[in-house]
Amino acid sequence: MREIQAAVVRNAGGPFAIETLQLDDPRDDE
Amino acid sequence: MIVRIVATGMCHSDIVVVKQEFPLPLPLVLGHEGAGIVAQVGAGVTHVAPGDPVVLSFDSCAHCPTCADAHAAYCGDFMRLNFAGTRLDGTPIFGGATDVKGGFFYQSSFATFALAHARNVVKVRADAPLDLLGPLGCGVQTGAGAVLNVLKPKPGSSFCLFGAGPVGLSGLMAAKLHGCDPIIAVDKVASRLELARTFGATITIDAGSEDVAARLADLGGVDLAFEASGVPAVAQLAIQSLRTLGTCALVGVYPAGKPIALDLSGLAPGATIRQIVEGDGRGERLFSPLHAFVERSPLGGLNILRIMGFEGEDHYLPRLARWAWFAVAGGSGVPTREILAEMDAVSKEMGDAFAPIIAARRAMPTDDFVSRLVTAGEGDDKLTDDEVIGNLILTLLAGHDTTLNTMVLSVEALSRNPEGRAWMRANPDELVKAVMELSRHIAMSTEQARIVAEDFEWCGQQLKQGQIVHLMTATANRDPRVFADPERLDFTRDQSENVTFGPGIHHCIGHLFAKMQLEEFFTEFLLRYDSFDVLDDLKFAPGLSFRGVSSLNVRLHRAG
Repeated sequence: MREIQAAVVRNAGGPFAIETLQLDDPRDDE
Repeated sequence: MIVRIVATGMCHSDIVVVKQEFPLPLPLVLGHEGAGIVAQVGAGVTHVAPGDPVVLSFDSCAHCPTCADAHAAYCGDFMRLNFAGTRLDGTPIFGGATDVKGGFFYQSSFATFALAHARNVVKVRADAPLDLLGPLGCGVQTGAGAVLNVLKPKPGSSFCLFGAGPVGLSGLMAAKLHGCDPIIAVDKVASRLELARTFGATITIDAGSEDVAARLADLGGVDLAFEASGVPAVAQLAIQSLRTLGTCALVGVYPAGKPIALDLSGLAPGATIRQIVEGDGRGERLFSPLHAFVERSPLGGLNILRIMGFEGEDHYLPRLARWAWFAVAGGSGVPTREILAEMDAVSKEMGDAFAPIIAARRAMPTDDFVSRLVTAGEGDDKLTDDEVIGNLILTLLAGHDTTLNTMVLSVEALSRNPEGRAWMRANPDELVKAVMELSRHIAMSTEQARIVAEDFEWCGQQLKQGQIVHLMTATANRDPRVFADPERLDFTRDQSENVTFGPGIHHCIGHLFAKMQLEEFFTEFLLRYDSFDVLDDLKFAPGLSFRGVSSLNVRLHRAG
């Protein structure tokens, strides 16, 4: 897992909100 | 793999999800035009490694019938692979207790890092401008690919773009590369139409004030209608604009529940309506030539802008080609009213663009070219603003258009001259001689104007002080008394009488800069390509002083 910052849309029409997420590790074909 | 995102485009396809016109489940991380540096790869990934610069595109399964038939954009699993919000097997992209979904186009590039599949990552060159290349992954690919991969127009086909946004303009530029003529652009936004003209549109129609259908009917319809607006009513108009055997390409994303009405009895005989996804391409097949095109487009212009000390290259570069074209065309033998009107318009545009720079340098001179002009002279005998603007226009266009045209016409000449190519490769230290001979031979610059300083007689002609004379340098460069067998390209001949850069004290101020750029260009070009074929007849742009072509389609054969 890698901690990242991402622009998340939670509701129709926005806004984009910056959230901290955990990005999964790559699999063999990723 | 994990990619550290350097830059990402924002596309209409992101916006329609935000608005839920394309109702993917929220919350979601969007973004599908990412470009960045590989940070980590899975054990089975071999075509990229950590540290590689890459551009991200869409994903496909690689084994369904359409993928096997090299149409990955129509992959049977396209929706699940690109829009499920998870991996294909349903496992999430993001860990922990979050409810956020990802994997949009198998990337979700609106983030500091993105997880991508091996199939939707394309490696680019180490010096690639990653801040510019993200849109190759969707918008540019969608527009340019639709023309390059699907429509494949014949030179001279009429092309009409409906919707001059990034996707449409990418298609328009590809149409120009194919030699389409005329190239028509339809939009409601004036700035977009201006951009379309810069990129090659020969006719623009303002849909906000003009009857588009009537204008297109007056032109006899079009061979290729390129619908990129995503508006159903515009798609209807595009289909109705076709002439016999015409094709309408639909590349927009259209809202659900908004059908159009078509009177099929009015459809052009033999007409084709073709919906095209992602340019019907795979990233790696399209990126390389598109990347090269992006790199080439500011050729010459970027260099002269930097030499002159102009800030804001992004503002000037898109305008240079149009400015140069009309400034030169206005000096043609019998310019049309339309050309004269455009010449007036670009003269004003250039004056308006340069005026603030001149004012700033008058207030605070630096050591750049503009400052030298505004401070030149003695006492009160300084150049006026109009004179400075005139010099800036001349320097900017002469420093851009002449070099570019010389490159293009020389490529055409060398395409027919394998001995010349061999000589240049064998004599890299004497390329300046080759550059001078090519300049003489192609005669890009045909004449230079001078004002008679005092009365005198020349070869039986009486010249009066103040008269303007045109020195036909192209003719002098073909004088058989000076250049034996002048029609022949001969890199070994003496160039001391070559007047391409002007005789006397008014020798071109930029001749060393031009020669340096041309030497660099031919060194790299001949290194990369063994040979090259020009695919169509030369179509010269109007103009007496400078000879340039409207377009040149060249097939390049790589070295090695």
